[in-house]
Amino acid sequence: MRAVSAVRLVAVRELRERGRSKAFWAGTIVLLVGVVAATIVPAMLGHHGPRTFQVGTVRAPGGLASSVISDAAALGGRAHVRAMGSAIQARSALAAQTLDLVVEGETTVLVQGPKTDQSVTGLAHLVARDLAVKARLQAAGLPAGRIRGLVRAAPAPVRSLLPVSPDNQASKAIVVAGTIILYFALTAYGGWVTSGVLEEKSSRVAEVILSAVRPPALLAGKVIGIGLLGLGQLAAVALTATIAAIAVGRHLPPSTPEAIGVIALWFLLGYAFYCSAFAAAGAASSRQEQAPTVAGPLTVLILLGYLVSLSVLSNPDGALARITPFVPPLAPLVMPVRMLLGHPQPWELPASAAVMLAATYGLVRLAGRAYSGNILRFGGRVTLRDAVRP
Amino acid sequence: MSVSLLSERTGGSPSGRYRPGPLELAGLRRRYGRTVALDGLSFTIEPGQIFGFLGPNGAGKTTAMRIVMGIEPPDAGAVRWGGRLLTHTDRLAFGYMPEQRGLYPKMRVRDHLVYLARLHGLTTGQAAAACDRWLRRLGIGAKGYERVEALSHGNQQRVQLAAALVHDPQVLVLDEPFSGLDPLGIEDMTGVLRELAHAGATVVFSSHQLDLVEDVCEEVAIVDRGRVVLAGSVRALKQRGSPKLVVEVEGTGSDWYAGLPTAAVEPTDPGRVRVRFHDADPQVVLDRARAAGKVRRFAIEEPSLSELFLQAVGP
Repeated sequence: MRAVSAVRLVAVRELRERGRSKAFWAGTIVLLVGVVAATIVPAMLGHHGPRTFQVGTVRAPGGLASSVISDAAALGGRAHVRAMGSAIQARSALAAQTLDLVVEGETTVLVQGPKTDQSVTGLAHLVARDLAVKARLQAAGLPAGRIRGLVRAAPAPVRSLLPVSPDNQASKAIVVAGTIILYFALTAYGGWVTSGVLEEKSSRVAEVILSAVRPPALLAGKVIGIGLLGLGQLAAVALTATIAAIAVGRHLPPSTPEAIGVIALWFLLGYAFYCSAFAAAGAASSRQEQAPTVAGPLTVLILLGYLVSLSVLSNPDGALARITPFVPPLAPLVMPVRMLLGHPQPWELPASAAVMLAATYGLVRLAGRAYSGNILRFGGRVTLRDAVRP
Repeated sequence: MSVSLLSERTGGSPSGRYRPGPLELAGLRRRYGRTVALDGLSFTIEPGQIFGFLGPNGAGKTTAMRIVMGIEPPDAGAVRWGGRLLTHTDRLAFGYMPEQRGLYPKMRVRDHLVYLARLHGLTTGQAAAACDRWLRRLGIGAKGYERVEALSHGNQQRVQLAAALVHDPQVLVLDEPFSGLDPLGIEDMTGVLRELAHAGATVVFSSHQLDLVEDVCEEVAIVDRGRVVLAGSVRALKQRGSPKLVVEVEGTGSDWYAGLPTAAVEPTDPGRVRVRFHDADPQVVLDRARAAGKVRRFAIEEPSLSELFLQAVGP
């Protein structure tokens, strides 16, 4: 039998047996429900339409209400202005958050404090500024009718030098979600590889299989089967998330397919890099409870990649973002962020992928040798030196 | 059950299926650290016979079988089949039952056997047909859709045997196939092996229970510490070894065998004694025994394989 047919048979068995297991379907359903919830719930809780500010006034000067309303409109919201009976009443309403803002007399603007959001602070500053300007104009002796017109002048439009569109926010959200999924996918599918190899070893079926299939073919088939199943699960997640987002009317940037493609690419590169090492970890253990210890360093590396990607997220063109794509264990989690949110040079993707593939080649050879050497070695744990010795 | 395996065998006439030619282990050496597992092990197995590869635990049997199956490399030496070096492709025509039994516990029996048959190069259709045939032959036809882990120990052993047989191998390598079997199981297993050997397959199995299997095999190689200490047909070996004379005499004292080369003396019933002799002249012994009392038993016994083994490795 040619090695290719053996690899295919092993991969198909892996797909079929895992695809049949309840654990796989339970995991997939939990994942899909989670993704749908993560897409729909914020949309349901989110504020729709303009914000309405609750403003209370005490002994306010005439014309304050219309000035507050136009300030709120400048912030893209509305204001509901009520005259309060006393300062005490106004302050207790503010403390109870039935009011967002209180204007006392002609000089004092009060906000609640710890629970005050940014838009309320913005409105408070605008109102305070209006009051100050009005006081100056009054002191300069301008008649009240003139003052009102001057204070309520339409603000000059503010424009961004670099365009800020809703697409950027949405892309960032997709990249954040994609990185989290990538992290879980690499850890989870790596775990499948480890436990799958260990199952063959601990049930001793490996000896029967290896009398017909060579170790590299068995390893390749297992890794490809689990990888395909994982890719299918990821595709289902991406599709479900997209459908859910469209269903709740979320804004999807035109770059969404590209983002999914980039994440899928780095999943493949990352999985190829890590899977043989996870297989070697399975072969180096003898019992199920040893596997997490042996595979531990690998999951820590993936976690490290995820943590680095978080800091790259806030600065996708910084030094970290430019260096870590060339550190193979970190690249799969960092590079999607850099590619989708940063401004990489055209050579960075091919160069990073080439470094990744070269490292994968080396690791597959080393881990493959450790796997072949240990898959039939029963008993205690295998030392690292034993493991890679030919 | 007397279902003929051959009439249903996939792939046409049985005589054409088997490649004639001996399986030859030549000068195999293997060591693990300081432990020498195989120390120049050599023997040859002819097709169409059941060959017993016997020896105490730790003699190197499992290592030798793993080397034959290509699971372990030898440090030196070679395995030849029909005069040519054994290749990976050749081994797809081999069936193997390792000493450490093992199957995928969660897989269904039928899926498992079909998978193994496919790995050995059968098409899906051939694999399914062979699987059903062997499940019926081994009396577990109804268990095909159960998970391996749900079966009883005895039935798991049968599936394990089916796993070695499902691709209709030309050479069958079984490591301690009788261990853990009850006498009925041993008889079933022996029946299957005899049928296969009769059809032309090469059957080699290992065992550390020498006397349990001496009726099963025609040829043996007995190993100790990685070397063959005795080899040949069971009959020839037994004839070559010195026969024992066993005499049981009733109602006598103990002096009648004095001066004869006795090997063992055991009282059986009261007033009755069983005496074994080495190299004694049967005529002399018989005359003495008749003079002493009633001769209840007088037999010339061939040595058992374990006695031959002890003679061969003894001081």
